[in-house]
Amino acid sequence: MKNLSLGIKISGGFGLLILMAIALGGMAVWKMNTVKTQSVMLADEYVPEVEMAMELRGAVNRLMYEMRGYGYTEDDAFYQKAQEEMAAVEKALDAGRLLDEKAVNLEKLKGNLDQATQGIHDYKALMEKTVDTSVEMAKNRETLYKSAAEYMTNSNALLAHENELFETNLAERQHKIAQVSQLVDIGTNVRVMNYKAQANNQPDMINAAADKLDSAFTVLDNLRSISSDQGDIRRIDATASAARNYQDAMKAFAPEFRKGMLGDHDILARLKAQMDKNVAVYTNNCNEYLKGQQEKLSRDMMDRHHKITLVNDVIDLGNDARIGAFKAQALRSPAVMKTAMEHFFKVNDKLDALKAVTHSSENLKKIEAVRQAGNTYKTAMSDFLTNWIRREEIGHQRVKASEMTIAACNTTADTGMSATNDVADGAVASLGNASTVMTIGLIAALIVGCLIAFFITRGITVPVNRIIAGLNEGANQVASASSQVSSSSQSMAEGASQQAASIEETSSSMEEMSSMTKKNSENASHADHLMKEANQVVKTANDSMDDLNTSMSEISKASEETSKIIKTIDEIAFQTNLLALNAAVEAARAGEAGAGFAVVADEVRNLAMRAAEAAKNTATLIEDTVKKVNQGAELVSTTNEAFSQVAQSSGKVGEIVTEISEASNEQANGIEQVNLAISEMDKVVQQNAANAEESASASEEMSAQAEQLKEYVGDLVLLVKGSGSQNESISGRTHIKSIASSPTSMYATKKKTLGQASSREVRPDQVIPLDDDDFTDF
Amino acid sequence: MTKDKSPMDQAIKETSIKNGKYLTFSLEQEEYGIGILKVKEIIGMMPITSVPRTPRFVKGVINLRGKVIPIVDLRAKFGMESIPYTERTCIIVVEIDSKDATVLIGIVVDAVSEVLNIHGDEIEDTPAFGTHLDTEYIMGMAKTEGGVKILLNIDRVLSIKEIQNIQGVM
Repeated sequence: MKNLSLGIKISGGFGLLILMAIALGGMAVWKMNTVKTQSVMLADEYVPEVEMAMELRGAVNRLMYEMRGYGYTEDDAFYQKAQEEMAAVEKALDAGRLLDEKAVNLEKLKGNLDQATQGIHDYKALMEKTVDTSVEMAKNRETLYKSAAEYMTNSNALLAHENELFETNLAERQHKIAQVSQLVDIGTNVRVMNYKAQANNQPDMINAAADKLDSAFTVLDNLRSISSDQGDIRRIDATASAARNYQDAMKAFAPEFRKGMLGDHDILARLKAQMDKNVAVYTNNCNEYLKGQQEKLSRDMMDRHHKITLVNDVIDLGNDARIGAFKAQALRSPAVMKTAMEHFFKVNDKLDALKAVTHSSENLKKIEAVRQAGNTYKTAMSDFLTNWIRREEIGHQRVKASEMTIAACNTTADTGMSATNDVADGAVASLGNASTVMTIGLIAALIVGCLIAFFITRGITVPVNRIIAGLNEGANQVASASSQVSSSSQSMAEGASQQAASIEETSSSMEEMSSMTKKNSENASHADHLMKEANQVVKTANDSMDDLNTSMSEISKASEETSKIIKTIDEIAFQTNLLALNAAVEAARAGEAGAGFAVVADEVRNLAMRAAEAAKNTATLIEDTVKKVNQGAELVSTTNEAFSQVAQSSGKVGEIVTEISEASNEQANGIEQVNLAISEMDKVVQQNAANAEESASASEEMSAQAEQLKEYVGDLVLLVKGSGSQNESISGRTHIKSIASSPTSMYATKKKTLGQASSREVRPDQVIPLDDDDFTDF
Repeated sequence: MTKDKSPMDQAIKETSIKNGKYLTFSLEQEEYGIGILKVKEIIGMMPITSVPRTPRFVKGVINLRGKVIPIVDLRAKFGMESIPYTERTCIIVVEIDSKDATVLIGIVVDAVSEVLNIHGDEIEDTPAFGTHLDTEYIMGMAKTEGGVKILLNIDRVLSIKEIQNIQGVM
């Protein structure tokens, strides 16, 4: 890269960019063509295919709907619509076949169309079958309604008849019971009147009672006319004969009773017995008849009730069956109808039971009619059910056939849709690819262009700049270094003269120091002498302290001896006291003769007491003295210690003073040596000053040479960068000049130039700024 | 001669039972007195030869100018705490009247004080401390300036039996 010439670099960069542009354009054109072909295919074949499939499916769905409606309602309007839809389906199929002939890419369409056609064909056949079945079912239903109506009419008539019979029977029985009750009342009244008459002796009243009994015969005749049972009639006859006998007996009894006391008692008694017997027969018969009637009434009622219940059951079952049939049709559930039919089989049992308890021929005939109607109903129901189930099956088949068609439609539509999706996806993918490739290519071309431009520019400017910077820097450094050398040699000369002056000062002060040191040494030896004297004094004091100590201990001993003597005196006093007391005892024993002796003894005792007292006091004093002496001894020993410490310290002070004296002597020696060294230093400094002056003049010369070098560099910069950057180089030059002319600010400027140098290494464009002007120039 | 003198002695004794001179001594910081006529001699403490099988208060015997005299410690006798003897401790030799003869007995006291002349009306009888206490050995209480001094009836301090026992030991 570096070895190539500038022209080759530039033309190579542009050639690379043009190649990239051609590649990108060619790729985009190719992708677009592919997408276009796919779009045409989509518009001509796949979309019409899907459209056709959708239409066919819609038509089939509508057809199914209409047919289902027909199946539920059996309305011909639905069937008409279904046929119209069928025409629409066939039309859609024709359109499909046309498309199949035209299309190139639709491979599956033919198979699907055949499947759909087959489905539709089946469906058509099934539709006709459905219509036939529906007609048959309508007939069955007619039969069902008719037989049900007949069944119900007959059943109701039977029920009505039974009810009527029930009421008639009830009225008859009630009438009979009322008649018999009347009969009993009459009998009772007659008996009461009879007994009353007998009790009150009124024979006329008996006759009246007998006459009253006549009314009973009319009632009995009535009863006989309405009774049909033989037992009842016999009982009525017995009652009637008893009543007649009773009447006869009463009529016979009345004349006899009228006679009063004159009457025949036997006859009266016989008649009375006859009366009583007949009355009993009458009453018994009446009661039996009444009882029989009541029993019959309850039996009849039970029978009637049973019959009516049966008839009601028959009606209920019929109703249940009808309700079941209607419910099944309403719910469209043949299972419900089947259950209802099974239920209806119980009707025959009920009718048999009814027949067993029915006696009237009219009713039996009616029951037969009901049975027949029920059977017809049953047959019609089973027919209806069979037809219905068949129609359901046809419906299922129909759904299957239509589902086949719809499946074919769905497959076609799905195929079309998936193909469309594939085509669309392909188009999107290839367009996306093209777009991505274009974008990436553009970005890559941009980046490559920028990089090429940058590198070429850099390849030219960087080396030139580096050379200029290097030259400039070198010149600057030489200039600054020479000025530095100049100023430093000047300051060195100054420093050397200053050093010389200060060395002289040092020398004089060293001499002063020497004399001071000698004085110190003398003083130290004087102090040493004084300290020795002080030591002597302390020793003397120590000796006298020792003497004091001994005399103190002697005093102590003497005191102890004195106290012993005192003790002896005390003892003597005690003994004297004892003697005095003994003397007093003796004197007392002597009585009057010892009176004087007693006085003497007393005095002696007193003396002894005084002696003891004095001894005691002395002892106390001596004890005190001993104590004080001991204290003094302690003080003396303390003082002694203090003195010995003083002696020690003074010894130490003496040693130190001696050391000081020796050190002072050594110092004096050292100072003399220092003096010698200083005079040598003085010589060296003077030579230094001369050298510095020489180097200063050499550096001046160097500085002038550096300035010339800088001027050459400025000319080179002008050559490379043109007049636009001339100011920069000029300002650089003046800057350097100012450095050379001001050695006082040398350190600050030196730092600055160093900083620039370091930054220049990192960023060369700071020294030679690459702004827009430079680029345009380039 | 002794028989002639005895009534006189008796009289002297009677009169001097209360009114007269007393030798006072101290014992446990209390002052006691003994009638001076009962005192034979006062001597300082001297070595005592202890005798076995004697009561605790009998300290032993001393040889007083050829006479062996039993010594009784009055502290021990009075049931006081015994203390070591000092140079002030004295022995008072007293004459005790026995049934048949007078006996010399030394009693050890803390210190001998003086011979006091005590008036009869300064002496009071022994107060009754109660029936159980035997106060026969106390003759009376002497009121003096320094307080009360207990006057001992030394004959009764040691009972006859004790004296006999002591004599038996001798």
